[in-house]
Amino acid sequence: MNDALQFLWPSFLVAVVLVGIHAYFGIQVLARKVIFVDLALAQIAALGATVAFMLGHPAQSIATYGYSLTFTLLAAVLLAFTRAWGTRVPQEALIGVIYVVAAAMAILLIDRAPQGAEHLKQILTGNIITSGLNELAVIVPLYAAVGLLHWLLRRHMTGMGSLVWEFLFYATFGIVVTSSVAIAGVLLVFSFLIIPAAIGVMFGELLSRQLAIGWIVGTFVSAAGLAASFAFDLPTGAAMVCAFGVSLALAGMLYPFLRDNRRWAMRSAISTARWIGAAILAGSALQLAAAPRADQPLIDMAEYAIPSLRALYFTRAEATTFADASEHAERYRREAEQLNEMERRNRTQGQALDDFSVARISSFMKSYGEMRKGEQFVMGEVRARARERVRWGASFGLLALSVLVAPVRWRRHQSTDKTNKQLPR
Amino acid sequence: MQFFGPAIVSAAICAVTSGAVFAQQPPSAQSGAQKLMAVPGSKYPGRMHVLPATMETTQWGWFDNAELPRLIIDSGDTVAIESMSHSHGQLWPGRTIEELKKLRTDWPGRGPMTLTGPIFVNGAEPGDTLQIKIQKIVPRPWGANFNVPGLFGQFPSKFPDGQVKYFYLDSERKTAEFAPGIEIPLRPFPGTLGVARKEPGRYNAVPPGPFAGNLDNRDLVEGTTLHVPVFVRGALVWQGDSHAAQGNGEINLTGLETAFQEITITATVDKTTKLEWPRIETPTAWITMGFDEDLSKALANAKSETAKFLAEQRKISPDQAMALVSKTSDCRVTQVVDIKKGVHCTTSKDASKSLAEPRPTVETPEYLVTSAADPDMNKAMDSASWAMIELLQKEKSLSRLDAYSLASMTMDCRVGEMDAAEKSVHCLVAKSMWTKR
Repeated sequence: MNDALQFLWPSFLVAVVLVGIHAYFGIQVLARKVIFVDLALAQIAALGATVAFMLGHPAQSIATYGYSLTFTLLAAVLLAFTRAWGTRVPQEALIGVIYVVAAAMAILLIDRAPQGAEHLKQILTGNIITSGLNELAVIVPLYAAVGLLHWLLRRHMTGMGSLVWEFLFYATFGIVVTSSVAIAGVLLVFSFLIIPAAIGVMFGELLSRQLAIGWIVGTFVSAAGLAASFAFDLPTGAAMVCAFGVSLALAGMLYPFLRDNRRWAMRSAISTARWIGAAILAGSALQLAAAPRADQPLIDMAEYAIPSLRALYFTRAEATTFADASEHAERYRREAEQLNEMERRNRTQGQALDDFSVARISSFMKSYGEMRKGEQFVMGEVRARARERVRWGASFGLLALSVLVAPVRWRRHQSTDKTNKQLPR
Repeated sequence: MQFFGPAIVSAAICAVTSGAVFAQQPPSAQSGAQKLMAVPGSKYPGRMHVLPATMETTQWGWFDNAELPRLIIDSGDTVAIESMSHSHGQLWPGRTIEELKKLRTDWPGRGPMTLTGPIFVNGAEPGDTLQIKIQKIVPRPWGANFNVPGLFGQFPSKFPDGQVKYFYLDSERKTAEFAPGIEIPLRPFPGTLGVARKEPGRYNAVPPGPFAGNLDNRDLVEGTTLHVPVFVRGALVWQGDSHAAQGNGEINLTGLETAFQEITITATVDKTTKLEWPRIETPTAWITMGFDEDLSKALANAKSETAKFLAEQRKISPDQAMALVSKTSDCRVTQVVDIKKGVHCTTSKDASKSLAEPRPTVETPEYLVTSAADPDMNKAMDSASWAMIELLQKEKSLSRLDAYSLASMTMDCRVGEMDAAEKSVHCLVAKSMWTKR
C-alpha cells in the first residue's frame, strides 16, 4: 500500500492540477457548445510535437514545446474565426474538420519514422504515470496565471465575446492544452476537460457549484483510475479515461434519483433494466437459434460465473473433454510461468543463462502460449457442438425467460380481456 | 487407467524439470526423479513410467545419439509418453500457413517433428532387436493438416499456394469433420517411433532408416509392435510426429497432425532376432518395409525385405520367396514426402493365407479409384494420386487445396503390378467418408 502511494502520489498531484484548470475550461466549452474544440486543439498541439519530432527534437524539449505552442496559437486564431464562419456550417463541423486533418497530417508525417507507432500512442495516451514534481513546477504557475487572467477578465471570457476575446480565450486554452497533452495525451486531456465539467453542469446551477462538483469528481476519479492502473497493471492513461467514462455513466444513472421524482425514477430504472434484460435474453435466444456456433456472450458470461451450468447441456464425454482441455491450458500457463521464473531467477540471482538456453526458453514460452490457444480451440469447439445440439430447446427457454422478465402487464391485459368478455354485446 | 492425472503429471514434470541432471547418472542407478516417474499398479507389463513432453524431454527435428537419456527403463517396462505438436508445440489452431512456412524455412536442416525422449532401455546392445509394443494411444482432441506453399509434398510446383486446416477430433465417434458432410475416420499412430542411429552427430529426423524413425506408416497403430534393430547401447527410443490419421502416400507432407496426450509403449529387448530393417507385427500379420529416394527402389527394397521374411517363415529359398511376394503380400505406398520414400508390404502370419488381392481400376461401390501404370514407380504414383486430386474436385466439388488435403489424410495408394516392367499404382478414397446430414 505504502509502495503504491509513494509511486502514485506525484502523478496524482499532476492529475489534480490538470482537473483544476480543465474542469473550468470544460464548463466554458460546454457553455459555448464547442465540445470538440479541446480535441482539435490537442491534436494541433500533437501535430506541432510531431513536426518537432520529425525534425529531430527530443519529446520533452523546449523546441518541441515551442512548435506545439505555435501550432496551437495558429489554431486558436482559426478557431476564433470559425464562429464567424459558422453561420451556415455549424462551428462544431469546422472544429471536427480541423481535428481530423491535424490527425491525418500527424499520421502522414509519422508514417516513415521507425518509432512512429510508439510516438502516436504516446500522443494519444500520454504518460502521466511518469510525471511528477518537474512537471508540477511548470504547470502550476502557468495554469495559475491562466486561471488568474480568466478571473480578472471573467466578464469577457464567459460567454461569447468579440473576435479578440474569442482569440484570447482560445489562445489561453491552447496554451493549457499544449502543456497538458505533453503530459497526459489527447484522450486523457479531453476526459479531464469534458467529464468533470459535464457532471458539474448536471448537478450544479451556479458556476462555483459546477466547478466544485467537477473538481471533487475529477479528483476522486483520477485517484480511482490511477489505483486501478496500479492494481491491475494497466496502461495508466487508458485506465483513467475509462474510469472517467464510468463516472459519467454513473452520474447519468444517479441523475434522475437526485434531481427528479425518486419513486418515478426508481420505477423507470427498474422498467428500463427489465426491458434491457428482456432484449438481451431475446437477442441471445435468436443468436443461439440462428448461429449456435457463433459467440454467445450472455451464455459465456453465465458459464464463466457459474461453470456448473455446462452440466445442463454437456454430455459426459463433452464434459470430460472440456475439463481435460481446461486442465491442459492451466498446465501450459503454469509451465510458461515456471520458465519465466527460472529465466528471471538465473538473470537476477544466479549465473546468467547462455544465449542458446535463453532462446530455447523464449521459444518454449511462446509455444506454451500457442498450446493454450489450442486447448481453447478444443474448449470452444466442444461448447459450440453442445450448443448446436441443444439450440432449439435452449433458445425457447431463453425466449420464455425474456417474456417473463419484460415489464409487460400481463395480468391487467388478462383482466381487461375478462372484463371485455363479460360485457354484454 | 488414466495415467495423465494431474497429480502424476505434476509430479513427473517436477521430477523432470527440477532434475534433468538425472539423465547424467549411470544408467543402472535409479534417482529420486526416476522413482517419482514410475507409476505403481498397471495392467501393462513391467514397471510403468511416465514421460511428459517438456522443454527438458523434447528435441525439435533431429536425432542425436549423444542426447542424454530422459528416462531409463528396464527391458519389459512400459512407458506412457506424451508428445508435443510440431516445432516444439508451435503448431496449434490459429497459426497461419505463413507462420508455419516460416517455422520450416527459418530452421533448415531439421524436421518439423518434436521428439520426446530418448528412453534408455537397460540391457539393449547393438545387434539386438528392440520390440516396441504400442499399448494405447490417446490423441489431443485437435488436429491440423497443411500444405506449405510451393515447398515439400508430392506436388510443390502445382501448389504454390498454401493452406492450413484445423480440426476438432471427436474422441467419442472417432471422427474429424473435414467439411460439412465429410468425416475422416480417426486411426491414431506415431509418425515417428524408433531408436538412435549408429552414426554420431545430429541428423534431420525426416528420412526414415534402419533405425525406423519417421516411418509415417499408418498401420503402426495401437496393438501393433515395432521390431527395430538396436545400434547403440540402451537403444535410445524416441517418439514424435503424432498423427490421428494419414493417407498411404501422405502426399501434401502432412497427415492429421496432432499431439498425443498419451502413447503407452512396452519396450522389450530381443537378443535372439537379428534384423537389418524394422518390421511391424500386427495380431495377424507382419509388415516389412523398403525405403529409398526413388520409389521404384523403395519398392524393390520392400520386396526384398518381404522375400527375406517369407523365406524365414516358409523355409524356402530367397528366389522362391521373391517370386511369392506379389502372390502373398499386400504392398502399399507408405509415403512419398519424407526424402526417402517408403513402400510396405503386409504378409499374413498364417502361411496358408494370401493377402494379395486384385486392385480396382475403376470406381467401386465403396471407393473412388484412380490408377496409373509406368515403368517408373514415381511417375505411376504421381499420375494416380494427381488423378485422384482431380477426381475429388470434379466428383465431390472440393477446391484444389481441399482435395490435396483430403487425399493426403485419407487416400490409400496400393501397389498393383509389381513384377512386370510396368508397375502400377491404384489410389482409393473411401466413399463412406461422405455422410448424410
